[in-house]
Amino acid sequence: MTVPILVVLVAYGLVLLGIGLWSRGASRDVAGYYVASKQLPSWVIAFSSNATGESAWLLLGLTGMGYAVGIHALWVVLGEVLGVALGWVFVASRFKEYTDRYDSVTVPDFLEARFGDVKNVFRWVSLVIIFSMVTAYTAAQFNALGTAFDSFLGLERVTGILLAAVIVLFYTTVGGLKAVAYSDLLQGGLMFLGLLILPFVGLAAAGGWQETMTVLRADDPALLAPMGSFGLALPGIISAISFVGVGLAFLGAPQLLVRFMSARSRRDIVDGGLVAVICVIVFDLGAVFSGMAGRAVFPGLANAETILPTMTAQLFPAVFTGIFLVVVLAASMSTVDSLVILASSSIAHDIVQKIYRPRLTTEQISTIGKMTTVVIGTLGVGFALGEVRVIFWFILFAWAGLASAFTPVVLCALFWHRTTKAGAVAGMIAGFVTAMVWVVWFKAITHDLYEMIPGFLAGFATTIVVSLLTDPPEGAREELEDVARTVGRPFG
Amino acid sequence: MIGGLSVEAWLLLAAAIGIGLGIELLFFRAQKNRTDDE
Repeated sequence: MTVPILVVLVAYGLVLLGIGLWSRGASRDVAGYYVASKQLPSWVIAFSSNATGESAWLLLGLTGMGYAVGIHALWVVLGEVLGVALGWVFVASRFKEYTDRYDSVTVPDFLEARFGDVKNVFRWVSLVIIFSMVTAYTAAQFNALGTAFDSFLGLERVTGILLAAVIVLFYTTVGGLKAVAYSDLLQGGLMFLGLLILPFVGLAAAGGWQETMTVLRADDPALLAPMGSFGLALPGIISAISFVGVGLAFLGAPQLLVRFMSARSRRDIVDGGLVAVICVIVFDLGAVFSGMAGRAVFPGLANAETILPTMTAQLFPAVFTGIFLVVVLAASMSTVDSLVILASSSIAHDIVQKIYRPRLTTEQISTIGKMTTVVIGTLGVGFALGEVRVIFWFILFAWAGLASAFTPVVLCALFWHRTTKAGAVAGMIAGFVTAMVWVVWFKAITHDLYEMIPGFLAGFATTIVVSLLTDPPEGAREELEDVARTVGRPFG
Repeated sequence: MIGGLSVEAWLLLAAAIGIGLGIELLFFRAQKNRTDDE
């Protein structure tokens, strides 16, 4: 490890630790710890939601996809940009208004209040889904962190995982969501700059845009075809739909909904949306075109997902290698911090405070939440140490599991007054189980159709059918109409 | 072929950026106008 790289890494670590200490005053009670007392400004929620939604998969996986399939990877860009835009335009303000009225701190709080759930069914179902998915998701991200240290610096994987875990768990535990969101702002900013610069350097190294396209066409004409090597056949269409489906989670995955809830006001959501959309365009196009330019410069890599470390090591001075390592670390850390605090809230707030110990003070619950954060993070590290591979399909699987369980139900709750508690519970379970079952039994025989698609369809269909078969909830129509009036129409 | 890419590829690129950004810009403008009116 050279001195410049070490300096960059130490500076990055110190800034994160500093953000944790700076935020500690805001994390003393439950609302402060889990939703930053709903005081986050537009820029912070925008970068935080994007940095949380994207992860090492963006830096290593999507650049690898650009390398492996070329222009066909733009279907992911289409899905993600559309998902982010629709989420901010249609979901964010309405969700913010509902959760302010209910004084909600978590997504299960919102569901419980919206459906009058006195038996805590949503809290228990959410706990199982969030805990199982977050543990797997966090382990995969820690693994990506260890691999980043290894591939950039040759540092032992275990050391890299432990180093990253200590830093993430420190600032998340000490500073709560405020530290998570502001560190996400820093990390998202680093990802933004990295993915803005990298494709231009790659294209320049390949001899410019025209030369890059000529080289790629000579390598494989399918790299420049929208439907890739499949053409307009069924596997190509399914592949494109699956890529677009990645973006559906931006409409209502719980780790992203928390950002909308934590906004200072609905006005911040209007400003934040534009920032978020521009940000995700730069993230995704930067990743895809970096991968494509990388293929023109470094053809024949055994593993496409090593293109980003290869480019930074070969095309930049050592100090930039350190900066790009930090960018990859930032992508993973900004996801891990949000996941562990989400899982912590589903235990400390949703179960301990709301079911078993309602008389504990909000400060005591915050302390339990901090301890839970450490335990969940440690569990993720434990699983990561036992699994040596970085499995990007596993990250996408957990992304789909969380989104399939929550998004269809949250959308129905926000837009359809006829949604019932039974329908919502059944929809959550159906969406989650379908996504899981699809991977095990059906994915291989359906040209790898991404589990998000059947998970969403099952979630929506079950919520709607069961709701129609059960008694309509009292007062839901009036409440929904009042929320809609307060929020106003998006375009008029 | 334009700039080494087919028209279909350019259309996909335009859709990838333009649909989401267009929706967001319409929303942003409408909400800002409403704020100004208030």
